[in-house]
Amino acid sequence: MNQAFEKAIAAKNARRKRLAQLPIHKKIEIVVQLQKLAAPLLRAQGRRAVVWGINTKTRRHEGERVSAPVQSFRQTRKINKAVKRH
Amino acid sequence: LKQAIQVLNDLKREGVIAEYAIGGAIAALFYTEPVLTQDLDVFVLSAAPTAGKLITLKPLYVALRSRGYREQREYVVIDGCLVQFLPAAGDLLEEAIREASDRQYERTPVRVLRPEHLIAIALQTCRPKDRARVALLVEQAQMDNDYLHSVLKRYRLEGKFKEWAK
Repeated sequence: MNQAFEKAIAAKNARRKRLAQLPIHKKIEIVVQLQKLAAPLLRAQGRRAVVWGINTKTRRHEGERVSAPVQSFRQTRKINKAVKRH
Repeated sequence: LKQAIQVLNDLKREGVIAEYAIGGAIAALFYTEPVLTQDLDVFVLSAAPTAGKLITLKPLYVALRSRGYREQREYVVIDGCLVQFLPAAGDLLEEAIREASDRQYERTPVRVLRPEHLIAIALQTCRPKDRARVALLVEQAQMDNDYLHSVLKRYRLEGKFKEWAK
């Protein structure tokens, strides 16, 4: 197998492991973000789309730092928005 | 979500339900990476006496309505979440609820199905998304393998598990 491909797969698996280890409230925040991303696609297919009314933006817990996987998820969203704009 | 969990704990304390445990994708979330889901599945042991094999969730819906929560098709909307209440129909689900693990969500106690039972239930229902959930749990959840195999053996799901693993 191509070495670059192997490296990409390993990085992907490592990221998935990191995501699995996040605290549950962080995972719920990601689920809500996924719901927001999926909603227009589902609606376009005529399927039911639900976005939970949980405010994830203002939610911060005592002494908490935004974890790396969530940051990278947000960066991905920024990039996607920028691509959409152009 | 926190409010939904608090409502579940209140309903249990008030005797409206005998026991509950979160199941489905949100339960799996406690053990695996996040995946898209639209609802919160709550498995419930009814406190009301059952007439033969007929299980009723009527007292639960009455209690939720009295708290001002509205129904939306098969769901009840609590704290912006779609919550689906499912009665414990069958021995596997009853055992899964009784042996659920005690967890915390934002310092609120919550009962969540064990990963071993989530696998057994997914194998029983066996839709494509259930098979995907089995894969995710086997790969990422920390499990007691002896316990998993005892559950699979008790509910005659070993064959399905072997078939899935092929």
